[in-house]
Amino acid sequence: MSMNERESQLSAMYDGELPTAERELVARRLSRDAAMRETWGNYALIGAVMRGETLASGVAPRVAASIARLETAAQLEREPADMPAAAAERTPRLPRWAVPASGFGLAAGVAVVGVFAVLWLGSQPPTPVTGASVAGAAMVPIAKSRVAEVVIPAAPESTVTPDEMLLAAAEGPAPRATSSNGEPLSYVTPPVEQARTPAGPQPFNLASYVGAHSAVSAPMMRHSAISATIAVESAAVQPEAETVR
Amino acid sequence: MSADDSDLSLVQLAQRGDSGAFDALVRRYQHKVVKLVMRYVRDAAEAEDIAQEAFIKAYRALPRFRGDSAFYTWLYRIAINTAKNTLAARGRSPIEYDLDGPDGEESHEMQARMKDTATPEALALTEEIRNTVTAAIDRLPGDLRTAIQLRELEGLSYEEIAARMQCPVGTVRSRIFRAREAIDARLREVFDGGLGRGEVIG
Repeated sequence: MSMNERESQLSAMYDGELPTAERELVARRLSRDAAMRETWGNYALIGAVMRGETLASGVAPRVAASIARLETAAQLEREPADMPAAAAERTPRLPRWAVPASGFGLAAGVAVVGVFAVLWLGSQPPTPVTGASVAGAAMVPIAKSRVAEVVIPAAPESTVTPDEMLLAAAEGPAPRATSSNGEPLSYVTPPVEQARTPAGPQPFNLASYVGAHSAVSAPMMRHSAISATIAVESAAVQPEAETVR
Repeated sequence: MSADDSDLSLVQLAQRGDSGAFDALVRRYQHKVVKLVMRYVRDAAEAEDIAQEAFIKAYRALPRFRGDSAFYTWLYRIAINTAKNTLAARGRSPIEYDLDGPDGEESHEMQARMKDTATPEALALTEEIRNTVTAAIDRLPGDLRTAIQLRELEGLSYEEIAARMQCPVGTVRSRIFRAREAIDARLREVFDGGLGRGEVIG
Protein backbone atom coordinates (compact mmCIF):
# COMPACT_ATOMS: atom_id res chain seq x y z
CA MET A 1 0.00 0.00 0.00
CA SER A 2 1.38 3.41 -0.98
CA MET A 3 1.79 6.32 1.40
CA ASN A 4 -0.91 8.15 -0.49
CA GLU A 5 -3.33 5.29 -0.07
CA ARG A 6 -2.60 5.12 3.66
CA GLU A 7 -3.28 8.83 4.08
CA SER A 8 -6.39 8.49 2.01
CA GLN A 9 -7.50 5.81 4.46
CA LEU A 10 -6.62 8.13 7.34
CA SER A 11 -8.72 10.93 5.87
CA ALA A 12 -11.66 8.57 5.42
CA MET A 13 -11.13 7.26 8.95
CA TYR A 14 -11.25 10.83 10.26
CA ASP A 15 -14.61 11.28 8.57
CA GLY A 16 -15.88 7.92 9.83
CA GLU A 17 -16.20 6.68 6.24
CA LEU A 18 -13.90 3.69 6.42
CA PRO A 19 -15.22 0.10 6.33
CA THR A 20 -15.04 -1.66 9.70
CA ALA A 21 -12.33 -4.11 8.64
CA GLU A 22 -10.00 -1.29 7.58
CA ARG A 23 -10.91 0.88 10.57
CA GLU A 24 -9.35 -1.45 13.11
CA LEU A 25 -6.14 -1.61 11.11
CA VAL A 26 -5.87 2.17 10.68
CA ALA A 27 -6.67 2.74 14.36
CA ARG A 28 -3.79 0.50 15.36
CA ARG A 29 -1.46 2.20 12.90
CA LEU A 30 -2.56 5.61 14.13
CA SER A 31 -1.95 4.71 17.74
CA ARG A 32 1.63 3.62 16.97
CA ASP A 33 2.66 6.27 14.45
CA ALA A 34 3.27 9.75 15.89
CA ALA A 35 3.71 11.32 12.44
CA MET A 36 0.37 9.90 11.41
CA ARG A 37 -1.21 11.43 14.52
CA GLU A 38 0.34 14.76 13.58
CA THR A 39 -1.43 14.56 10.23
CA TRP A 40 -4.61 13.50 12.03
CA GLY A 41 -4.29 16.52 14.31
CA ASN A 42 -3.84 18.81 11.30
CA TYR A 43 -7.06 17.46 9.82
CA ALA A 44 -8.81 18.54 13.02
CA LEU A 45 -7.07 21.92 12.86
CA ILE A 46 -8.17 22.47 9.25
CA GLY A 47 -11.78 21.74 10.17
CA ALA A 48 -11.60 24.07 13.19
CA VAL A 49 -10.20 26.91 11.08
CA MET A 50 -12.83 26.39 8.40
CA ARG A 51 -15.60 26.52 11.00
CA GLY A 52 -14.06 29.53 12.73
CA GLU A 53 -13.60 27.56 15.95
CA THR A 54 -11.17 27.97 18.77
CA LEU A 55 -7.68 26.70 18.03
CA ALA A 56 -6.12 24.88 20.93
CA SER A 57 -3.41 22.66 19.55
CA GLY A 58 -1.40 23.13 22.75
CA VAL A 59 -3.73 20.92 24.79
CA ALA A 60 -2.74 17.58 23.26
CA PRO A 61 0.98 17.76 24.15
CA ARG A 62 0.13 18.78 27.71
CA VAL A 63 -2.36 15.93 28.08
CA ALA A 64 0.19 13.47 26.70
CA ALA A 65 2.81 14.72 29.17
CA SER A 66 0.35 14.45 32.09
CA ILE A 67 -0.62 10.93 31.11
CA ALA A 68 3.05 9.96 30.87
CA ARG A 69 3.58 11.31 34.41
CA LEU A 70 0.52 9.43 35.65
CA GLU A 71 1.77 6.20 34.11
CA THR A 72 5.21 6.68 35.66
CA ALA A 73 3.69 7.41 39.08
CA ALA A 74 1.43 4.36 38.79
CA GLN A 75 4.45 2.27 37.86
CA LEU A 76 6.35 3.55 40.90
CA GLU A 77 3.37 2.82 43.13
CA ARG A 78 3.23 -0.74 41.90
CA GLU A 79 6.96 -1.33 42.35
CA PRO A 80 7.24 -0.84 46.16
CA ALA A 81 4.55 -3.49 46.67
CA ASP A 82 6.70 -5.96 44.78
CA MET A 83 9.93 -4.84 46.38
CA PRO A 84 9.96 -6.61 49.80
CA ALA A 85 9.60 -10.12 48.40
CA ALA A 86 12.15 -9.50 45.68
CA ALA A 87 14.57 -7.86 48.09
CA ALA A 88 14.22 -10.74 50.53
CA GLU A 89 15.10 -13.15 47.79
CA ARG A 90 18.16 -11.18 46.83
CA THR A 91 19.47 -10.51 50.37
CA PRO A 92 21.36 -13.47 51.89
CA ARG A 93 19.80 -14.18 55.28
CA LEU A 94 21.79 -15.41 58.32
CA PRO A 95 20.33 -18.23 60.43
CA ARG A 96 18.57 -17.01 63.56
CA TRP A 97 21.31 -18.36 65.83
CA ALA A 98 23.98 -16.59 63.82
CA VAL A 99 22.56 -13.12 64.33
CA PRO A 100 23.75 -12.63 67.96
CA ALA A 101 26.92 -14.52 67.15
CA SER A 102 27.67 -12.17 64.30
CA GLY A 103 27.07 -9.19 66.60
CA PHE A 104 29.42 -10.67 69.17
CA GLY A 105 31.99 -11.36 66.52
CA LEU A 106 31.80 -7.78 65.34
CA ALA A 107 32.20 -6.42 68.89
CA ALA A 108 35.12 -8.78 69.55
CA GLY A 109 36.78 -7.69 66.34
CA VAL A 110 36.46 -4.06 67.29
CA ALA A 111 37.87 -4.77 70.77
CA VAL A 112 40.89 -6.63 69.38
CA VAL A 113 41.60 -3.83 66.94
CA GLY A 114 41.27 -1.34 69.81
CA VAL A 115 43.72 -3.25 72.04
CA PHE A 116 46.28 -3.52 69.27
CA ALA A 117 45.85 0.14 68.44
CA VAL A 118 46.47 1.12 72.07
CA LEU A 119 49.52 -1.15 72.30
CA TRP A 120 50.88 0.14 69.06
CA LEU A 121 50.32 3.78 69.97
CA GLY A 122 51.91 3.26 73.39
CA SER A 123 54.93 1.52 71.91
CA GLN A 124 55.58 3.95 69.07
CA PRO A 125 59.07 5.36 69.27
CA PRO A 126 59.52 9.08 69.12
CA THR A 127 60.71 10.57 65.92
CA PRO A 128 64.52 10.45 65.96
CA VAL A 129 65.97 13.85 66.56
CA THR A 130 69.58 13.07 67.41
CA GLY A 131 70.58 10.53 64.77
CA ALA A 132 70.48 6.86 63.97
CA SER A 133 72.02 5.72 67.23
CA VAL A 134 69.15 7.17 69.20
CA ALA A 135 66.56 5.66 66.89
CA GLY A 136 68.21 2.25 67.06
CA ALA A 137 68.41 2.32 70.79
CA ALA A 138 64.75 3.11 71.10
CA MET A 139 63.46 -0.25 69.89
CA VAL A 140 65.28 -2.65 72.17
CA PRO A 141 64.26 -1.54 75.63
CA ILE A 142 60.64 -1.05 74.64
CA ALA A 143 60.36 -4.55 73.34
CA LYS A 144 62.01 -6.06 76.34
CA SER A 145 60.05 -4.07 78.82
CA ARG A 146 56.91 -5.51 77.25
CA VAL A 147 57.99 -9.14 77.33
CA ALA A 148 59.47 -8.99 80.82
CA GLU A 149 56.27 -10.36 82.36
CA VAL A 150 55.59 -13.05 79.76
CA VAL A 151 56.02 -16.61 80.96
CA ILE A 152 56.34 -19.15 78.20
CA PRO A 153 55.34 -22.71 79.15
CA ALA A 154 58.02 -25.33 78.88
CA ALA A 155 58.17 -28.29 76.53
CA PRO A 156 55.37 -30.89 76.64
CA GLU A 157 57.65 -33.62 78.07
CA SER A 158 57.71 -31.80 81.35
CA THR A 159 56.73 -33.92 84.33
CA VAL A 160 55.04 -30.99 86.02
CA THR A 161 51.33 -30.72 85.31
CA PRO A 162 49.66 -27.40 84.64
CA ASP A 163 47.88 -27.65 87.98
CA GLU A 164 51.18 -27.98 89.77
CA MET A 165 52.50 -24.99 87.91
CA LEU A 166 49.50 -22.92 88.95
CA LEU A 167 49.89 -24.06 92.54
CA ALA A 168 53.55 -23.17 92.50
CA ALA A 169 52.75 -19.76 91.13
CA ALA A 170 50.26 -19.20 93.91
CA GLU A 171 52.82 -20.08 96.54
CA GLY A 172 55.16 -17.38 95.35
CA PRO A 173 58.77 -17.37 94.20
CA ALA A 174 60.48 -20.71 94.34
CA PRO A 175 63.71 -22.24 93.14
CA ARG A 176 63.83 -22.62 89.40
CA ALA A 177 62.23 -25.92 88.41
CA THR A 178 63.78 -28.07 85.77
CA SER A 179 62.61 -31.05 83.77
CA SER A 180 64.31 -34.40 83.68
CA ASN A 181 66.39 -33.46 80.67
CA GLY A 182 67.66 -30.32 82.36
CA GLU A 183 65.44 -27.89 80.44
CA PRO A 184 63.73 -25.26 82.59
CA LEU A 185 60.01 -25.60 83.00
CA SER A 186 59.49 -22.01 82.02
CA TYR A 187 61.38 -19.19 80.47
CA VAL A 188 61.59 -15.75 81.89
CA THR A 189 63.00 -12.87 79.96
CA PRO A 190 65.91 -11.06 81.56
CA PRO A 191 65.14 -8.17 83.89
CA VAL A 192 64.48 -4.89 82.20
CA GLU A 193 67.46 -3.22 83.75
CA GLN A 194 69.83 -5.71 82.16
CA ALA A 195 68.50 -5.03 78.71
CA ARG A 196 68.57 -1.28 78.85
CA THR A 197 71.03 0.48 76.71
CA PRO A 198 73.49 1.98 79.08
CA ALA A 199 74.14 5.11 77.12
CA GLY A 200 71.87 7.64 75.37
CA PRO A 201 68.46 9.10 76.22
CA GLN A 202 65.49 7.05 77.37
CA PRO A 203 63.33 7.03 74.24
CA PHE A 204 60.45 5.19 75.84
CA ASN A 205 60.24 7.69 78.66
CA LEU A 206 60.48 10.48 76.14
CA ALA A 207 57.72 9.00 74.05
CA SER A 208 55.59 8.48 77.10
CA TYR A 209 56.15 12.03 78.24
CA VAL A 210 55.18 13.39 74.85
CA GLY A 211 52.18 11.09 74.67
CA ALA A 212 51.00 11.97 78.16
CA HIS A 213 51.42 15.70 77.84
CA SER A 214 50.73 16.42 74.21
CA ALA A 215 47.69 18.54 73.64
CA VAL A 216 46.93 16.68 70.46
CA SER A 217 47.29 13.12 71.74
CA ALA A 218 44.13 11.13 72.29
CA PRO A 219 42.99 10.48 75.89
CA MET A 220 43.46 6.74 75.38
CA MET A 221 47.02 7.28 74.28
CA ARG A 222 47.72 9.54 77.26
CA HIS A 223 46.38 6.94 79.65
CA SER A 224 48.39 4.19 78.02
CA ALA A 225 51.57 6.23 78.01
CA ILE A 226 51.21 7.16 81.69
CA SER A 227 50.52 3.55 82.68
CA ALA A 228 53.52 2.34 80.73
CA THR A 229 55.77 4.93 82.28
CA ILE A 230 54.69 3.96 85.80
CA ALA A 231 55.28 0.29 85.03
CA VAL A 232 58.77 0.88 83.68
CA GLU A 233 59.74 3.12 86.56
CA SER A 234 58.50 0.54 89.06
CA ALA A 235 60.54 -2.11 87.31
CA ALA A 236 63.60 0.09 87.46
CA VAL A 237 63.21 0.57 91.21
CA GLN A 238 62.61 -3.10 92.02
CA PRO A 239 64.26 -5.23 89.33
CA GLU A 240 64.40 -8.31 91.53
CA ALA A 241 60.61 -8.60 91.65
CA GLU A 242 60.47 -9.24 87.91
CA THR A 243 61.70 -12.77 88.03
CA VAL A 244 58.82 -15.00 88.82
CA ARG A 245 60.15 -18.41 88.26
CA MET B 1 -20.74 4.61 9.37
CA SER B 2 -19.86 7.74 11.30
CA ALA B 3 -17.02 9.44 13.13
CA ASP B 4 -18.33 7.72 16.25
CA ASP B 5 -17.30 4.36 14.79
CA SER B 6 -13.77 5.63 14.24
CA ASP B 7 -13.71 6.97 17.78
CA LEU B 8 -14.88 3.65 19.13
CA SER B 9 -11.96 1.84 17.49
CA LEU B 10 -9.55 4.27 19.15
CA VAL B 11 -11.39 4.12 22.47
CA GLN B 12 -11.13 0.34 22.52
CA LEU B 13 -7.39 0.56 21.95
CA ALA B 14 -7.05 3.25 24.63
CA GLN B 15 -9.03 1.10 27.07
CA ARG B 16 -6.36 -1.54 26.60
CA GLY B 17 -3.72 0.99 27.68
CA ASP B 18 -2.75 2.38 24.28
CA SER B 19 -1.88 6.01 25.05
CA GLY B 20 -1.25 6.73 21.33
CA ALA B 21 -4.88 5.95 20.59
CA PHE B 22 -6.00 8.34 23.33
CA ASP B 23 -3.65 10.99 21.97
CA ALA B 24 -5.42 10.68 18.62
CA LEU B 25 -8.74 11.29 20.37
CA VAL B 26 -7.35 14.34 22.17
CA ARG B 27 -5.95 15.78 18.94
CA ARG B 28 -9.31 15.33 17.32
CA TYR B 29 -11.36 16.98 20.07
CA GLN B 30 -9.08 19.50 21.78
CA HIS B 31 -10.41 22.45 19.79
CA LYS B 32 -14.02 21.50 20.45
CA VAL B 33 -13.46 20.96 24.17
CA VAL B 34 -11.71 24.30 24.65
CA LYS B 35 -14.50 25.99 22.75
CA LEU B 36 -17.00 24.28 25.05
CA VAL B 37 -15.16 25.30 28.22
CA MET B 38 -14.95 28.89 27.03
CA ARG B 39 -18.67 29.07 27.71
CA TYR B 40 -17.88 28.99 31.42
CA VAL B 41 -14.62 30.84 31.87
CA ARG B 42 -13.32 34.12 30.52
CA ASP B 43 -9.66 33.36 30.38
CA ALA B 44 -8.20 31.47 27.40
CA ALA B 45 -5.34 29.92 29.42
CA GLU B 46 -7.80 28.84 32.11
CA ALA B 47 -9.97 27.22 29.44
CA GLU B 48 -6.98 25.22 28.22
CA ASP B 49 -6.17 24.14 31.78
CA ILE B 50 -9.72 22.95 32.33
CA ALA B 51 -9.77 21.18 28.96
CA GLN B 52 -6.54 19.42 29.91
CA GLU B 53 -8.01 18.35 33.23
CA ALA B 54 -11.15 17.10 31.49
CA PHE B 55 -9.09 14.94 29.13
CA ILE B 56 -7.11 13.50 32.06
CA LYS B 57 -10.36 12.68 33.86
CA ALA B 58 -11.66 11.04 30.71
CA TYR B 59 -8.48 8.98 30.41
CA ARG B 60 -8.84 7.78 34.00
CA ALA B 61 -12.54 7.01 33.56
CA LEU B 62 -12.03 5.32 30.19
CA PRO B 63 -12.21 1.77 31.58
CA ARG B 64 -15.78 2.56 32.69
CA PHE B 65 -16.85 3.91 29.28
CA ARG B 66 -19.18 1.29 27.83
CA GLY B 67 -19.90 2.90 24.49
CA ASP B 68 -23.61 3.46 25.24
CA SER B 69 -23.22 6.99 23.91
CA ALA B 70 -20.75 8.53 21.47
CA PHE B 71 -17.30 9.23 22.87
CA TYR B 72 -17.64 12.97 22.30
CA THR B 73 -20.99 13.09 24.12
CA TRP B 74 -19.37 11.40 27.09
CA LEU B 75 -16.33 13.71 26.90
CA TYR B 76 -18.62 16.72 26.56
CA ARG B 77 -20.27 15.92 29.91
CA ILE B 78 -16.94 15.43 31.62
CA ALA B 79 -15.68 18.78 30.28
CA ILE B 80 -18.77 20.66 31.46
CA ASN B 81 -18.64 19.08 34.92
CA THR B 82 -14.93 19.84 35.19
CA ALA B 83 -15.50 23.48 34.26
CA LYS B 84 -18.37 23.84 36.75
CA ASN B 85 -16.46 22.12 39.55
CA THR B 86 -13.39 24.25 38.94
CA LEU B 87 -15.43 27.42 39.19
CA ALA B 88 -17.24 26.19 42.31
CA ALA B 89 -13.92 25.34 43.96
CA ARG B 90 -12.71 28.87 43.28
CA GLY B 91 -15.92 30.39 44.59
CA ARG B 92 -16.88 31.75 41.21
CA SER B 93 -20.02 31.34 39.17
CA PRO B 94 -20.02 30.63 35.45
CA ILE B 95 -20.03 33.70 33.26
CA GLU B 96 -23.38 34.77 31.90
CA TYR B 97 -23.78 33.23 28.51
CA ASP B 98 -26.70 32.21 26.37
CA LEU B 99 -26.05 28.50 25.91
CA ASP B 100 -29.04 28.16 23.67
CA GLY B 101 -27.96 30.87 21.28
CA PRO B 102 -26.94 30.16 17.70
CA ASP B 103 -23.47 28.72 17.20
CA GLY B 104 -22.42 31.65 15.05
CA GLU B 105 -23.07 34.21 17.79
CA GLU B 106 -21.53 32.00 20.42
CA SER B 107 -18.41 31.56 18.41
CA HIS B 108 -18.17 35.27 17.71
CA GLU B 109 -18.45 36.28 21.36
CA MET B 110 -16.07 33.60 22.55
CA GLN B 111 -13.49 34.54 19.98
CA ALA B 112 -13.73 38.14 21.08
CA ARG B 113 -13.08 37.05 24.68
CA MET B 114 -10.18 34.90 23.59
CA LYS B 115 -8.57 37.78 21.83
CA ASP B 116 -8.82 39.75 25.06
CA THR B 117 -7.16 37.07 27.19
CA ALA B 118 -4.69 35.27 24.91
CA THR B 119 -1.06 36.32 24.84
CA PRO B 120 0.13 38.40 21.85
CA GLU B 121 2.36 35.52 20.73
CA ALA B 122 -0.54 33.06 20.81
CA LEU B 123 -2.77 35.46 18.94
CA ALA B 124 -0.13 36.05 16.28
CA LEU B 125 0.41 32.33 15.82
CA THR B 126 -3.31 31.65 15.62
CA GLU B 127 -3.74 34.38 13.06
CA GLU B 128 -0.92 32.95 11.01
CA ILE B 129 -2.47 29.48 11.09
CA ARG B 130 -5.84 30.81 10.03
CA ASN B 131 -4.32 32.80 7.18
CA THR B 132 -2.27 29.83 6.01
CA VAL B 133 -5.23 27.46 5.99
CA THR B 134 -7.53 29.99 4.35
CA ALA B 135 -4.97 30.78 1.67
CA ALA B 136 -4.40 27.08 1.00
CA ILE B 137 -8.13 26.48 0.63
CA ASP B 138 -8.42 29.38 -1.78
CA ARG B 139 -5.74 27.84 -3.95
CA LEU B 140 -7.48 24.46 -4.15
CA PRO B 141 -9.11 23.37 -7.40
CA GLY B 142 -12.84 24.04 -7.28
CA ASP B 143 -13.99 20.41 -6.95
CA LEU B 144 -11.61 19.76 -4.06
CA ARG B 145 -12.61 22.95 -2.29
CA THR B 146 -16.30 22.19 -2.69
CA ALA B 147 -15.88 18.64 -1.44
CA ILE B 148 -14.07 19.63 1.74
CA GLN B 149 -16.43 22.53 2.41
CA LEU B 150 -19.42 20.26 2.13
CA ARG B 151 -17.78 17.89 4.55
CA GLU B 152 -16.39 20.32 7.14
CA LEU B 153 -18.94 23.11 7.04
CA GLU B 154 -22.14 21.25 6.29
CA GLY B 155 -21.17 17.94 7.84
CA LEU B 156 -22.43 15.86 4.91
CA SER B 157 -21.54 12.22 4.53
CA TYR B 158 -19.54 11.02 1.52
CA GLU B 159 -22.69 9.61 0.03
CA GLU B 160 -24.54 12.91 0.39
CA ILE B 161 -21.61 14.80 -1.10
CA ALA B 162 -21.47 12.33 -3.99
CA ALA B 163 -25.14 12.97 -4.65
CA ARG B 164 -24.64 16.71 -4.48
CA MET B 165 -21.57 16.68 -6.72
CA GLN B 166 -22.89 13.95 -8.94
CA CYS B 167 -19.82 11.77 -8.69
CA PRO B 168 -18.94 8.38 -7.18
CA VAL B 169 -18.32 8.09 -3.43
CA GLY B 170 -14.76 7.00 -4.17
CA THR B 171 -14.17 10.28 -5.97
CA VAL B 172 -15.48 12.24 -3.03
CA ARG B 173 -13.15 10.36 -0.72
CA SER B 174 -10.26 11.12 -3.04
CA ARG B 175 -11.15 14.81 -3.39
CA ILE B 176 -11.47 15.36 0.32
CA PHE B 177 -8.21 13.58 0.96
CA ARG B 178 -6.37 15.59 -1.73
CA ALA B 179 -7.76 18.85 -0.32
CA ARG B 180 -6.55 17.97 3.18
CA GLU B 181 -3.24 16.77 1.88
CA ALA B 182 -2.61 20.09 0.13
CA ILE B 183 -3.55 22.17 3.17
CA ASP B 184 -1.56 19.93 5.52
CA ALA B 185 1.48 20.24 3.25
CA ARG B 186 1.19 24.01 3.33
CA LEU B 187 0.90 24.04 7.12
CA ARG B 188 4.04 21.90 7.45
CA GLU B 189 5.82 24.14 5.00
CA VAL B 190 4.98 27.29 6.96
CA PHE B 191 5.30 25.94 10.49
CA ASP B 192 7.89 23.25 9.87
CA GLY B 193 5.80 20.64 11.68
CA GLY B 194 5.73 22.81 14.80
CA LEU B 195 1.97 22.93 15.25
CA GLY B 196 0.61 21.42 18.39
CA ARG B 197 3.76 21.96 20.42
CA GLY B 198 3.16 25.48 21.60
CA GLU B 199 0.32 27.37 23.15
CA VAL B 200 -2.17 28.02 20.42
CA ILE B 201 -5.44 29.59 21.22
CA GLY B 202 -7.67 32.25 19.83
